[in-house]
Amino acid sequence: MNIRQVREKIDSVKNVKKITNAMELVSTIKMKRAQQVATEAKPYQTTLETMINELTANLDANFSPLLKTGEYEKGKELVILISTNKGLCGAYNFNLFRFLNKSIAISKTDFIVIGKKGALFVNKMGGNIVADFTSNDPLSSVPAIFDMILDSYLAKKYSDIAIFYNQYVSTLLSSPTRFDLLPISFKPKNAEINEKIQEYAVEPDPTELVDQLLKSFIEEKIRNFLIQAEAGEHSSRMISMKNATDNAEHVIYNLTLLRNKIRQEKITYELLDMMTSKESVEN
Amino acid sequence: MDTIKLEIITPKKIVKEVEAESVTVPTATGEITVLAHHMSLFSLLVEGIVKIKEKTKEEFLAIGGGYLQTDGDTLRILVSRAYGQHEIDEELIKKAVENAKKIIKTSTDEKEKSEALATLRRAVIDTKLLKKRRPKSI
Repeated sequence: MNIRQVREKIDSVKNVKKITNAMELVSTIKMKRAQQVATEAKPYQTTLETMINELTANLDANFSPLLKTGEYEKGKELVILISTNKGLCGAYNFNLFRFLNKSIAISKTDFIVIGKKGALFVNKMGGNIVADFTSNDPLSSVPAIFDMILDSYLAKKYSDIAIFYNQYVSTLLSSPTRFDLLPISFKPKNAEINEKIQEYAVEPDPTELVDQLLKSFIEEKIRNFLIQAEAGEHSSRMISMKNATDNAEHVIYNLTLLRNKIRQEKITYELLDMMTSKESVEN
Repeated sequence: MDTIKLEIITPKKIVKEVEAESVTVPTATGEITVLAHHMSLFSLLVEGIVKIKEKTKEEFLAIGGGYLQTDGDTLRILVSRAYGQHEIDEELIKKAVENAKKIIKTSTDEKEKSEALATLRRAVIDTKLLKKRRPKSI
């Protein structure tokens, strides 16, 4: 490489560094916002869950078609896949897809995809996409997604509806997770709640109320997973952009060394030239 | 007068957390008022207006559908959305109503129509809310 090429290279790496740095900052802000949304949504979810637990405690598990009962036929599966719209977020999507590929037979499953990357992946693997809810604001399509899965579940098109997403563990870690949305399975309740529940009057009618509660519960779960996936996406992008910035710095350091070395070499050669020519003239 | 701890929670945030003297809510079977030491109750709420009476003031909130749970000490209201009078823009409502009416008249798409009907229903509740007197000290 000559010195001009090295200089050009340094300039371009500097530009890349500026861009990755800016993307890191943007992702940091977006991540914080997503985390805030997640914390603010928390009370609703926990209250909803306690309500359902208290109410279902003294009810028979067979009253709602949404609840898991002992014997049910295993049929086709519907999977909701939450991925990202944009790349440049490290191994975020890749880990999720690998997990998906391991857990189910993609070509035999129907999919609802949220996120461009997931749609591309499912397509490539020969999965059947029944709906694509990709958008910049996926939270607004939650009711539509919920209606769709509920309808197709009640029409007995699918025996299982599961959701695959990246669970937000910490800023450094998102772990691919599978959650079974339908049928709903609840943990066994303890006797203490069971006694407490007897005191409640329920209007208009327990089964109707619980049915509604269960539906809200599923919808809320989808919303929650979307929020988590978003927080994970941004933190993952933030980290990969930070790595890219650090790496660019490293490359710039090495290239600068190279540039200085070439320049020094050039000067040395010029000096040598001058000295030899001077000596030859004097002689 | 004894007070009951009121929590109004939506998926977005906790809208309200106050000590209230009485709370009037629209349930699926009709409007009820909850006072302190109310019997334990679970109920289904429908779209409408919640009236909250605190020691010194009264307040109205428009809510979407949801649930109510009380054990006499605390009253938890879980709804899809809740907002007060100052959060509503009269002009915007009027515009939304006109739009919705147009869609109901012209559109053939069932989904669009039901969406427009929902908007209209919400707008009616909003205008009702606006007509209530503004919160003031009693």
